[in-house]
Amino acid sequence: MQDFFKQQAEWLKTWQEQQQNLTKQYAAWGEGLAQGAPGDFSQQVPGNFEELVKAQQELFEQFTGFGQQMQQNLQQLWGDKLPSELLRQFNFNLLQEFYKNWLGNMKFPGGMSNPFMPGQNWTDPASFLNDFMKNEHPFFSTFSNFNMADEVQKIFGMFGMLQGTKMPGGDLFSQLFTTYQGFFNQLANTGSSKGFDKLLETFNSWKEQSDKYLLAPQVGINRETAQDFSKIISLSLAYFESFAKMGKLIEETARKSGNRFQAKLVERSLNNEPPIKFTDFCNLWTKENEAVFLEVFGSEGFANTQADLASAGLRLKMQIDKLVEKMIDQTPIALKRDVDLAAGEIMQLKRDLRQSRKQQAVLAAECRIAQDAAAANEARFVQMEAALTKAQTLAENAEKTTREEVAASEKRFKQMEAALAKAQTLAENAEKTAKEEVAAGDKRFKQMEATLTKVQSLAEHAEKSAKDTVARPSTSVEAVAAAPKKTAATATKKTPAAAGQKTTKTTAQKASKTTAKKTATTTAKKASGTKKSSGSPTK
Amino acid sequence: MNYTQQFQESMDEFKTFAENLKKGVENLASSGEVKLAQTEKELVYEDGKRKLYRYQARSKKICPVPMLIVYAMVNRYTMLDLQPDRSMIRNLLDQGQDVYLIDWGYADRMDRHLTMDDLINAFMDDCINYICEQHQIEAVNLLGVCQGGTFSAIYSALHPEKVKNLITMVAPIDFATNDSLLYVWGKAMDVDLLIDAYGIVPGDLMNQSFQMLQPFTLTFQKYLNMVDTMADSETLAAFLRMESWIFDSPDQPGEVLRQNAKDLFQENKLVKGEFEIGGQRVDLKQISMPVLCIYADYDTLVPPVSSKKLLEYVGTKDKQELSYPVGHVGMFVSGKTQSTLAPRISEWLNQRI
Repeated sequence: MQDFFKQQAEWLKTWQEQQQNLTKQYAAWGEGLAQGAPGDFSQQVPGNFEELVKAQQELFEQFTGFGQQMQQNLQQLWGDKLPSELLRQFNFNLLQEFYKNWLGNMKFPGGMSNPFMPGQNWTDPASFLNDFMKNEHPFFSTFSNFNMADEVQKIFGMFGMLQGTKMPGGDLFSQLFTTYQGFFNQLANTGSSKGFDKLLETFNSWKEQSDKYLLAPQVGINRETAQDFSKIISLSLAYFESFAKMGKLIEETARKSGNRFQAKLVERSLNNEPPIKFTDFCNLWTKENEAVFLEVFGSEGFANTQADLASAGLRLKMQIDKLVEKMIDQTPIALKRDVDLAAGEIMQLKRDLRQSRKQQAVLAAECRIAQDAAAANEARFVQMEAALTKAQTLAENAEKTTREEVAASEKRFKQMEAALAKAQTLAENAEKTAKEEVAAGDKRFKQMEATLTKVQSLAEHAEKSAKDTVARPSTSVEAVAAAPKKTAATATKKTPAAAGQKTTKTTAQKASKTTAKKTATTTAKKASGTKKSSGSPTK
Repeated sequence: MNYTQQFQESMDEFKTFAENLKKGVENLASSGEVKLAQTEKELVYEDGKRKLYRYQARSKKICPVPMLIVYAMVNRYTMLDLQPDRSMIRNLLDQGQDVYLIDWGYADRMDRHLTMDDLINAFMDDCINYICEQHQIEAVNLLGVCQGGTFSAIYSALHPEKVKNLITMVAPIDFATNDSLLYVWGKAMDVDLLIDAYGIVPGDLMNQSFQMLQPFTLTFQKYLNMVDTMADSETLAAFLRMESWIFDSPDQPGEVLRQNAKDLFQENKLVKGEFEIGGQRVDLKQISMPVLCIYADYDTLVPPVSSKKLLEYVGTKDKQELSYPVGHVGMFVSGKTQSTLAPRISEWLNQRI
C-alpha cells in the first residue's frame, strides 16, 4: 500500500505541475488562436513541452477534424435556418482541441497508458483503473480472482445513464443492484471480507490527494470551464466514496444473509426436512436472504448510506448537466433549463387561464342574472309603458273634462257674473228706485207734512171754528173732532224720524224703509182718512 | 428417502421444469398484446394529459350519487381494472355505482412545475364540478386509492360541501410510522437535490424503490415461480398483465413529488394541521362527511397504521374502518377480497345516500 500511495502522490504531483505549466503555455497559445493566428499550430506549441506533449499535431488534427465534423453537422442541421453571421460564431474547434490536448497529453507514471488518449476514453475512468490493476498494485491483490475493472465499468456505465444515455430497458437501480450482486458474488467466492474496506480506504486517500490538486487555483482563459471539469472529477470521487460505503454495507449484509441461509439449511437437514426440490431450495434462499436484507434496509444506517449515495450521484449528474449545457449553450439546441423555463411559463399561463375562466364563469353568471333582471325590467317597463299610456289617456281625458268643466264653469261664472251684474244693476236700480221712492216718499211726506200742517192748520182752524161754534152751540162735536187730530200728531212725530236715522243700501232695507214710510203714509192717510171718514176735510 | 429416489425426484422436477419452460416460452411467443383496463368507459372531460372517464353502467339500478375514483400518480389506474374477473371497477358497476375515474396521465418535462394545488384544487375540483353539473347535484362520493386517497382526504378537507361520502383505500395519511421501508428511506433522502437534478423524476427510479421492498422475491423468486405457471396460458396472461402494470410507472412531476416527500413523508404536516396547498391550510377536522377507511393488514407500502389514523383526525362522527388480510396490491387482485369489497362499499354508501 505504501508503494501505491507513494506512486499516486508522485503522479498527482507530476499531473499538477504539468497542468500548471500547460495552463500558462496554453493560455498564451489559446489567445493566439482566439486572435486568429494562422499557420502551423505545432510550431506555436511551446518547445519546453516536447517531452510531455507527444503527438501534439496528431491530436490537434484529430480534434480539429472532430470540430470540422461538428461544424459540418451544424451547417447541415441549421444552415438553412440560421443567419450565416450567427453560424460563424459556433466554433467547436477551440474548446475541443484545447481541453482534449490538455488532458490528453498527460504523462503517467509506472508505464500506464494515458486514459485521456484517443481510444482510452477520458470520460471513462474505468479504463484508467484497469491500467492500475494491470500493473498488479498490491492494493488490488485482495481481488485476486475478481475483475474489478468490469465492476467499475458498470459503475461508469451508470454514469452514462445519469448523463442521459440510458439504455432501453435499463435503469439506474437495477444496474446498481446487479453491481452489488456482482461485488457480493465475487467477494464471497474469494472469501475476502476486506475488499470494500480497502477500496474505501484507497478512495479516501485518493480523494484527499485529488482535492489538493482540484482546489488549486486555476488560471487561463478557460479557467471557469477548467474548474467545472475539476468539479466533475471531485464529484466522481465523492460518488466512488459513497458507492464504496454502500458496497461495504451490502457486502456485510450478504455475508450475514449467506450465513443465515446456511444455518437454516443445516437446521432443516438436521430436522430431516432438507429442501430436496430446486424450488424449495430457492424459496428458502429467497426467504432467508431477504429477511436479513430487509432488516438492514429498514435501518437508519442503510437509509442514510443510500441517501448519501443517491445525493453523490445526483450532484455529479447536476454538474455534468451544467457542463453539457455550457457546451451547447451557443448552439440553437434548446437547453433543459430553457425547456423548464418555458414549461414554467406555460404552466403559469394555464393557471391564469383557469383563473380567468373561473372569473368568466362568475361574470357569466352575473351576466345571466343581469340579463334576467333586464328582461324582468323590460317586462315591467312595457307594463309601465302601458300603464303610462293609460294614465296619459286618462289624464288627457281628465284634462279635457276639466277644460270643459272649466269652460262650463267659466260660462257659469260669466253667467253668474252677468247675473250678478244684472242683480247689481237691479239692486242699484232698486236702490235708485228706493232712493227715488224715498225721495218721492220724503217729498210726499213733506207734502203730507205740509198737507198735515195744512190739515192741522185747517184742523186747528176747524177746531177753533168748532170751538167757536161750540162755544156757541155744544161740546160733543169738539170731542169727536179732537181724536183724529191726536193720531195724526203721533204719526207725524215718530215715523219720519225712524226712516231718517237708518240709511241702508239694501233694497230690502230700503223697501222696509219705504214700507215704513208707506206705513207712515198709510197711517197718515188712514189718520187722514179717519179724519176724512169722520168727515173732516183733508184738502 | 434414498439417494435413488432423490435423484429420480430431482430428474422429474427438472423434466417438469423444462417442459413448463418450453410450453411457457411458446405461450409467451403467442401471447400477443397485453391488454389492461378493458371495461368500457367514455372520456368526458380533459385538461391536457389529465382526463376524466365515465364507465358504462352495468346495472339497471344506478346509485343517484356518482362515485369519483382518484388513483395514485406513481402507478396507473389500470390496477383497478386489471382483467374482467379481477376488476374492482367492474364490481362497483355491478353494484349499481355510477363510476367516474381520474387518469393523471404520463407526466413529462412540461409538467416540471405542476403542483399539488394544480392537481387537487384545480383538476380534481374541475372534475367534481363537471360531475355535479352533469347530474344536477351538490356533492359526489369520493373514493381515493393510495396516494389518490391522500389527495381525496385533502380535497375533502378543503371542499367538504362537494363530497357526500369519502372512502380512502390503502391511503397514506400519517407518516410518523417507520413500518414501511419507503417511509424510512423517504425521510433520509435529500428530496430537493433529487428534484433539482431530475426535474421530472423517472418512474423507473421510483419503481426500483418499490422493488427493493422485497429485493429477492421481486427480482428473483417471482420469475422462478413464473416458470411453474407459464405453461398455462391464462395464468401467464394474468402474470404478464401484472408485470405490465408494475413496470408502467409514470415519471413524477418534480414539484408534486417535492411537496409529497418533504411535507408529508418527512415532516408529516397533514396530521399536524400544517399542510398547505395553494395558500390554504388543510385541516382534516373539516372532513365532516361520512368516512370509510379501507386498509390492507399486510401492506408493506402503506402500513395500516398510516391509513387508519385518518379516522382520528377527521371531524365527522360517522366514520368506519374496513380491513382485509392482504397486501397493498392484493386489495385489488385478490379474488376473495374482490368478491366482498365492492358490495361492502356499495352497502355502506347506500346507507348514506
